[in-house]
Formats: sequence, structure tokens, C-alpha cells
Amino acid sequence: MSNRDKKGKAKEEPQLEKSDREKSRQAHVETLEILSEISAFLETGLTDSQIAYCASLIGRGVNPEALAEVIRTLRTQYPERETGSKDSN
Amino acid sequence: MPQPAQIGALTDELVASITNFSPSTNAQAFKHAKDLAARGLRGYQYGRTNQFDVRAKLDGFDEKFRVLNRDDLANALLERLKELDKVSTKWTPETLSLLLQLSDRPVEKSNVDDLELLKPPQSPSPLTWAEIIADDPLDEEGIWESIDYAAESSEDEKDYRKREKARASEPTPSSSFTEEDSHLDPESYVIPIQKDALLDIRKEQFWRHPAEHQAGGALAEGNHAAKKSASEITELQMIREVLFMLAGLPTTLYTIDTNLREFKINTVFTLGHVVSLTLDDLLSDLGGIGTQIYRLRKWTGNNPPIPLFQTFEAAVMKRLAQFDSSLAGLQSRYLNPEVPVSVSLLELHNEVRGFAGPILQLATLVVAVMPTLSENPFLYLEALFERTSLAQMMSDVGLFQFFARIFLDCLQPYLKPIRIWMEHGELGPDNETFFVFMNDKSSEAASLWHDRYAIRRHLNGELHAPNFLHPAALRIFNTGKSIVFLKELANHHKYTNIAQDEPRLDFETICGEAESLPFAPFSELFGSAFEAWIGSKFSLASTVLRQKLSSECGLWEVLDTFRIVYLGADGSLLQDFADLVFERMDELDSNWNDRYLLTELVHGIYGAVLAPGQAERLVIRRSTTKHRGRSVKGLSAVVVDYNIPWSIANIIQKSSLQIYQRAFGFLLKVYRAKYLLQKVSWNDIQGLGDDSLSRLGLKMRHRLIWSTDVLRTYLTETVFASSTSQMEEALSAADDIDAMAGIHTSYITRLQDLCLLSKNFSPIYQAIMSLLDLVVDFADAHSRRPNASASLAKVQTSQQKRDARRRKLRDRRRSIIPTRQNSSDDGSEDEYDGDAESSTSHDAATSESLYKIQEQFDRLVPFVVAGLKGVSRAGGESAWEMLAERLDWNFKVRCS
Repeated sequence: MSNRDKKGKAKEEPQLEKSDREKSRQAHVETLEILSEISAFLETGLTDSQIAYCASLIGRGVNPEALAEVIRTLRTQYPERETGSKDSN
Repeated sequence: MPQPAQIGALTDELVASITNFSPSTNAQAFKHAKDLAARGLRGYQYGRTNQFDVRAKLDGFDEKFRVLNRDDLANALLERLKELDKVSTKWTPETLSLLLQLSDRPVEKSNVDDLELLKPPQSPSPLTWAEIIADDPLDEEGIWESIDYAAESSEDEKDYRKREKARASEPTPSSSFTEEDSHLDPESYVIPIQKDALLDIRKEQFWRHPAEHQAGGALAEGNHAAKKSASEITELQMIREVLFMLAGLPTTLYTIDTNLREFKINTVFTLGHVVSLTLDDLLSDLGGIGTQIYRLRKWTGNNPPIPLFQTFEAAVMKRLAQFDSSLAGLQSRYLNPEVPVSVSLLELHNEVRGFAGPILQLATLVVAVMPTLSENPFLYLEALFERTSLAQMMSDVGLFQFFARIFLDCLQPYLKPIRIWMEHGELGPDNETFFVFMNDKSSEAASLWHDRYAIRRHLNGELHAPNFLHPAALRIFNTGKSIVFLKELANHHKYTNIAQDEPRLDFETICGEAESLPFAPFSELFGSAFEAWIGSKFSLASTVLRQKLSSECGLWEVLDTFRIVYLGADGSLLQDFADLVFERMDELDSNWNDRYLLTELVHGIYGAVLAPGQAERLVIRRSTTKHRGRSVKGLSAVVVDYNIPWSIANIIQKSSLQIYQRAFGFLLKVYRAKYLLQKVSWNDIQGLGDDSLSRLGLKMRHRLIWSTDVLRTYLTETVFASSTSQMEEALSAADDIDAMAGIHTSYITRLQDLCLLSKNFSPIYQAIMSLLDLVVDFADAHSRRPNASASLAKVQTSQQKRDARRRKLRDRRRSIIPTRQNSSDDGSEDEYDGDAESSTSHDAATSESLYKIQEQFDRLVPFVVAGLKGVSRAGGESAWEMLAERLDWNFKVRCS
């Protein structure tokens, strides 16, 4: 979860009514869930947290191809450290 | 955070997730990977993502799935894409592009079922108010009342907020314990003081008015609190105080004077509805009861050293405990009334007086008995016995049972040494409370019965035992001695006298099971029960002992020996022995009483008649006597001793042997007189020249023979035979050795009196001895006369007689006694023949002797007769009267 989300959560008033932020957060969570399912379909080998990180990075302007290349490089160079992920190549 | 920093942080997270490197543990590797990622992400050679291209690729995948007959995958993908479209953002195509680039043979590897695993667990449905109310309806009392948070401090709010913050900052559960648990706030556990409750309690504690006078605690020992005003309390409170006081607990209503050990009423407290005088009277009465019971409580716990007192103290404590339980019953009645009870001090007073009656009497008994216990340790037992009898006489069933049970409980430890003594013949170490003690540990076996153990008595001669045990004390004593005796007989073998069915000495056995008073007096009931208890042990021991004395120890054989040897029951045996002794006396000047020869003589004569082994116990002892010459008193030099076995010596004491010997001596003297008279023949007397002298001689002979025969008959028939048969009859019926010894002692005493051997009868006895000496003189007077032919014929006749006798004796004698040579007999002839005096002068001498003898006879016989009649009249034996009469006949015949 992003720091902003953390801060946002910290700033939240302990109230029972739902705010817009809560709604967007909920939507964000749903998006991540769907993406996680698609990622599972496509056998990308990404965990939910990794998908969230990648989505956050992409949301901050990181190129997805560069990101994919980095992930592939890291997986190649550190294959034994990976846990539960499959070889990308 | 600026964009690059955010990207950097996210990159770090991604690298850590992919490589599993931690910056703390694998810092270098993590840094390398991070640099790699950072360089890679900075690559700007890549163009923008074409969303249509992405869409085309996804369509391509869909087609591929359908072509390869994976419609499930295609449908699932399509469905997800549709959902994604609903929530898509402007970065969705880029994210999809990333996923497409990282895809790895989805056709082969994907499985729709795996999606199920991706689904998060269904979160529980949110709790609704309906559910809360259904579970816990909010209908508690006071739940809607507002709570006073006045005591809450503002710090609580801060902590509360802190806790909320901490909860909010945690997106996922952390590995450590939650921060809220470590934030324990002690102040939140503080219950605020309820001032109203404190005021109520202070109001209940009425005795704290005024509070500053009391030093804490309700007990003020001898300190009369300076209460200026009367304090009114309720009757229930007063009853509570009274009950506590009776239980010995400290109270405020009563103060304890520890010096006098009494309760005093604190007059400050009153009841609103009762006049103070009445109340004081009631309370003082209750206080009196409490005082007595308090003193009794204080007395217990002294730890007395003697088991008797310990048992008494334990019995008192048990009764105090029963009293306490009665008090507890009263308290429970007021505390937890099952039925409505009226709170009444009067009623409490009546009830307490009812069940405190016995224990108050016990308290007075203890007070009366305690000071003198050191002098008489049984005083409390006697007092309990008396109270029990008194209660029975007053027809108070409860009191009777109360004291009877205490008495019997306290008696049990006293019975233990008695039981041990009666069953084992043993005494406990240093048992001062038992009335039997070892008098002479090193006493010989012959005096075991009389000397080894003794009964403990006070200085005034009273037995050291409770007075209700005095009647049975002797039997207890004798039973134990019987056991000791039997053990000694059995050579210290184990002998115990344990009765198989010892009757119990408890209340039910003595007084019966009925609730009412027994008809018979308690002393009688207890006495009979105790007799039965003792009898169960006594009878066995005494029976066995009697049997052993008769069978193994030979009591009757010894008595037979005495009867035959000392009392001349078989006259022929005594005559044989006497004749031999007299011959030696006459023919030997000295050493006639050689003990060894005489002992052999006795063994020879009596050995055939007595029981086996009895004759060997006889020994002739030479006794020094001042009497020389031919006086009968010289026979006192011969004493027949008997070696009494130690077991028989406890009955026939050695001191009684002396009496037997003296009686034997008396009889022997009479036999001597008769022997000498028989030696003076008719012809000797006729040989006297003068007729008157002859007549005198004959007369004197006749009288002397008569007197001698009367004496012998008196001794053997009247005295020995009858007394001995009576004694033996009584002895066979005796219970124990004490009785036997008593019977024998009284027999010996009587024997001594009848034989005139006591000091009181010494003049009479001496007169009889003098009378017997007259016979010696008479015989001597006739033996000096030189009547050669007559005497020779007499001697020859005598010699023939002696020979005949010796032949008879030889048949009886077992031992070998060298027969005296005839030369000694010649000596007697020489006596006659060697005398050169003329017959005339001898006649004169004989005449003078005869007259002298007559004179003395006439003097002695009346004296003896008068003496005997006198002692007989003075309450003595009738046998003396008989003897006197018979002696007097002889005398009166002369006169007539």
C-alpha cells in the first residue's frame, strides 16, 4: 500500500460514514483484485503485493516495458531467491 | 514525498519482494538488485503503451483460448476484463501491458480452478443492531442512566486517541503484540470511591462514637472508655455481642478484666425498650455465665505433664466444643432464620442457661479441684464420681449422662497401668499415679510375694488411689503379683494374663442404652462393672497360680511333711526318732547331738513315709542352749530345719518355721519325760524299802505319767490335729497367695498360743517345763539306787527291749548308722554297779527326792491349772480350759 494510502488512512476520522476516499480506495482494491486474477490467468508469476507495487509504479509514470524488463532481469539474476514465482523465460 | 522518492521506495519494495533480499540482512545484494532495477526503470528507449495494441493482444489471447478449446479460460478472462472496464483508470492499459509482457504460456499452465484460491475469504457480514439487541437486550437496570465521568482524567482521552492512531497505522497485522495491549493503564482499574457506602458502614459501627477515643479494635482490656453518653443499640446487636462473649471472643458490650478473669458490662449500651436495671441484671447474669466459661477456657491449654490430667483437659475441651456448637446453632438461627424468629434477649438467656448448666457445673468442679491436684491427683476423678451420683439422685438425666461420660472418659487412662499390671505384672516407668510400686527390686524369691511390691499409701495410711477403687485395690494388687509369681515359676518365660473377653467400661455397658436414669445407684453399677472387669483378669491368674502351687511346687507335700515331722502326726515315727535321740543323750556325754548323724537318722526314719524329695530337705541343726545336764530343756539343742522352696516360702514364711520347731521341741520334751518314766519300772519303785516311800513313788509315777500323757494328748490331738485340719481346709479354699499366707499365719499364731509358746504364756510354759523336769528328777532318783539284781534284771530286760527295738528300726532304716556297741549299754550297768553307796543312804536320798518332787508337783500343777483357767476365761481358747480340767483331775484325785 502506498504511503499516501497510509497517510490517508491515518488522517481518516474514526467515523462510520463512507467518504469519497474510502470509495476510491475500495475501487482501487477491486482493480487490484481483478488484475491479480488476470495475472493468474496469464501466468505472470507476480504476487498480489508485486502487482500492487507495479501498478503504483506505472501510476507514477514508469514505463511498463521497462518494468517488465527489470522484473525479468531480476528473476534471471536471482532465481533462487524467488519464492513461489515461476521463471519468466 | 516527491515522485522519484516514491518511485524509489516502491522500487525497493518490489525488489525486496522479488529477490527476498532484506536491506538489513543482505544489504549488498539488495543494493545491487536495487541499482539494477533503478537503472532499468530509467530506460526511456521504450515508447508509450498503445492501449489498442494491448486490447488486440488480449483479444488474441481470447481467440487462442477458444481455438485451443479452453473456453473456460476465455470466458473467465473476458469476464475479468469486463469487470476491469468498470473500474479502469487511465493506467489500466499500461498495467495490462505489463501483465501481457510477463505472461508465460497461459494456455498450458492456467486453470480456472486456481482462481478460487485467489479469492480472499469472505468477510463476515457486518454486525447489525438487530443482532446485538437480539443477543443482549439492553434492558439492564440503570443502563440508560448517565455515567458520571467526573473522575476521569484527560490523560485517558489521550491514551485512547493514541490507541486509535496505532490501530489506524497498521495496514496488516504486525509480528509483535498489538500496541494497545502494552498500553496498560492502571488508572483505568481504579474504582472511584463511593462516599455513601462509607457513611453507611460508619453508621453501622455504632461503637465508634466518639471515634477518637477508641484505639482501634473493639476490645478494651480494663480500659473503661470515656463514653459520655449512652449508646442505644438494637436487641439483635446485643444478642450478637452476648453470643460472642459466651464464645470467649472479644466484644465491646463486655470488657474483660484479665486479672480477675471476669466479664464486666459496658453500661453505655442500652436498649430503647428496656429499663436499664432489668437489662443490667440480665446482662450481668449472662456475664456471669460467660465469666465461668471463660475461666474454664483459660484453664484448658495449660499442657499438664501427666496423662491423667491431659485426658481430663481433653474431656473438658470436648465439652467446651459442644457448648460452642450449641452457641453456633443459636447464631445460625439469627443469621439464617428458616422460620421467622423473635429476637429476644430473655429467650436467649433461658436457652443459654439451659444448655450451659452442665458446663457451668463442670467449671465449678474444675475451680474446686485444681488447687489440690498436686496433693491428690485423683481428686478430680472422685469429684466427677460424686457429681455423677448426685445428678442421679437429683433425677437430672442430662447432667447425669454428662458427668458419667466425662468420668468414664477420664477413667480410661487410669485403667491402663492397672490393665498392664494385671495382665503382664509390669509397672510403667515412674508411674506416680498408680498405687502399686516396686518396693524392693532385689528381694529374694522367697519373699517375692510380700516384699517385692507394695501398695503406695499417703502419710495418713490412706491408699493412693481414687476412693471408689479402694475395695478392689487389693485384688488388683494380688492379680499383678500372681502374674509376677507365675513368671518367676516359669523361669521368666513369657506369661500374660490377657482375658479374651474383657468387659468394656463405658457408659453404655454400665448404665445401659436407655435414655432414662438407671434405677440402681451409679456407685453400685460402677462397682459391679468394675468387679466384673477385674474378675475377668483376676480369676484366671489366681486359678492358674493355685494349680501350679499344688501341682508343681508341692504345697501339700510340704504341709504333710510339717505335719508328720514337726507335729508328730505319725506317732510311731516320732517315737522311733525320739528314742534314738534319747539313747544318745543318755549314753553320750557330749556330741550326742551330732548333726550329721541325726540328719541321717531323720532321713532314714521319715524317708519311707514322706513324699519323694521331702526327707532330703530335713536337716538337723545344733543349737546352743544354756541348759546343761539332764533337763528336758537340753533337747532344745536339737533343731530340725526344713529347706522350704522359695515358692512355698511365700505362703509358709520362714518365720513360721521357728514356731513349728518350738512345737516339735515341746512335743519332744514330753516324749522325753514319758521315755524316762517308762524306764522307771514298777520293780524299781517296789524295791524301795519303805512302804510309804514305795507308795509315794508309785503315786508320783502315776501322776507324772498321767500329766505327761495329758500333755501329749493335748498337744497331738487337741492342738495339732484339729488346728492343722482346719488350716488345710481353709487353705484349699483360699483365693490367692495373700489369703493362703494369711490363713497359715493365723494358724501358726494360734498354734503358738495353744502350745503356750507365746511370751504371754511364758510362766505357764516354764511351769510345765519344770513339771517335766520333775520327771527327770524322778527318773534320776530311781536310777541312782544300787539295786543290783533288780536293776540288772531290769537292765537285761531293758537290754532285750532295746535290742528288739533296734531290730525293728533296722528294718525301717535306710541309712547306715553304726549301731552302738553293747559296751555302751554296759556303761549304764556300770552306773548302777559302780556305785559304792549303801542302799540305805540311797533310800534316804530317794525319799528326800520323792518328797521334794511331790512338793514341787503340788505347787506346779495348781499353778498351771490356775494359769490356764485364767487365760481361758480371759477370752482365750477353750482348749486351755480342757487342759486345765484334765490336769486338775489328777490333782484332785490325790486330794481325795
